[in-house]
Amino acid sequence: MIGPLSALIKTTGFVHLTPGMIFMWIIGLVLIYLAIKKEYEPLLLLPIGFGILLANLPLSGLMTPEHGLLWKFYEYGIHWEIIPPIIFLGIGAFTDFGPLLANPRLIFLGAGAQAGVYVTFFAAHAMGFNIMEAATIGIIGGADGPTTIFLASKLAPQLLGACAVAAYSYMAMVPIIQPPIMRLMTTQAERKIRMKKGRKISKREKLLFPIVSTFLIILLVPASAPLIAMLMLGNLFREAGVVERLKNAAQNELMNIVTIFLGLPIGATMNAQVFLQPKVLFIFGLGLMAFMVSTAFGILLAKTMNLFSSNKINPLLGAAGVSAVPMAARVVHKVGTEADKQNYLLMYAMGPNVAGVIGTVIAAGIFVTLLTP
Amino acid sequence: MSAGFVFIGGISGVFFGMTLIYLSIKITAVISDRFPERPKETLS
Repeated sequence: MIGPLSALIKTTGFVHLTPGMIFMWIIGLVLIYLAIKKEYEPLLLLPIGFGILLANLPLSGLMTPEHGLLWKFYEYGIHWEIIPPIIFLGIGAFTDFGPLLANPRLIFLGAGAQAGVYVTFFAAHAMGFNIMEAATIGIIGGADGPTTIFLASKLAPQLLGACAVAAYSYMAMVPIIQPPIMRLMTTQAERKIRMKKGRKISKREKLLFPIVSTFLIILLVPASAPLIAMLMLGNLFREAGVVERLKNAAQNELMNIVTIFLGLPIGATMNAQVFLQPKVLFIFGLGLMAFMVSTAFGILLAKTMNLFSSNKINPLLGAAGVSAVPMAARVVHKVGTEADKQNYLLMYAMGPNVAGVIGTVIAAGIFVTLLTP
Repeated sequence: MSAGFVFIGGISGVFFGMTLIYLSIKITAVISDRFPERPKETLS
């Protein structure tokens, strides 16, 4: 009687539990808590948190290669590079490039904020991460979740979970991370600078932008094609004005469906064996550094541009160069209004904010080009 | 590929890419201003 009972017990997951798994449950539950209670990027952190719980239930087989349900989501959705580009289709359908077209010089702030990506890449490599892992950690500074996932799946899949969670967590914490840096690096007078209204943008310009920029970016960095092509296709849906159904599908149904299939397998990559390593702590530390350096360099670039122009830019706009759309732009507006209640910076901040998305995609494409054989 | 090369190549690549987009926006703006869109004719 005892023999069969013992065999039966061994088929349950209870006897295969490890302290590491239980610790990962706590991490998963914390993410679920942050998503529900604090509303920190709930669309991603909720399924990621649940995915972590699932990945750390012994014998479930959900991540067993070839057979596991979540493994299939991961393999065919992320490893095959399908889901991040579809997310970009939705982002493109949401994005209004009008503020950028009205003030095109603000595009350089989106480039300046990528400095954090490369400084962190260099720091991570100096700390002992291999060059592929260092690039994946650096891209967290772009504050763009889908691009981080895209690059991690190509260069360092073993870091995918940690980098994705770091990117989305810090994106949610932009209102906490950025303001002290913004206040530290600008004077009260600089924060009061009022932006001059940009030129009026015609519908034709808005239509031409996604087409022309697709050509230019893909010709320059072919490896960025999957992301930039879908981003600009989504934007073309938006601006064309004749495919409302496609635009709505990209913005809503499609985006929502792929978000489910993105978060769950990312969480499922975070089993205790992979995640509970000292280097994960370094990834979170470096990710935070990437965000801070990106913010600082964006502001510094805006201040540098002001040295050469009579038409001054409010340097706070530089902080919006990190992608985190539209959170970073909202933070700029909030810090700006603290100095001058009548200074409405939100519309202007959206320019560098959407430029940051393009800049991060270019940065990721360059990493792929330079680091893959 | 050395980290230094990736660092320099990456930053300059991003700025070069953004400069290309900036120029394309400016050129499109000049063309748009020179050849403004005609308002659609309406039936009266």
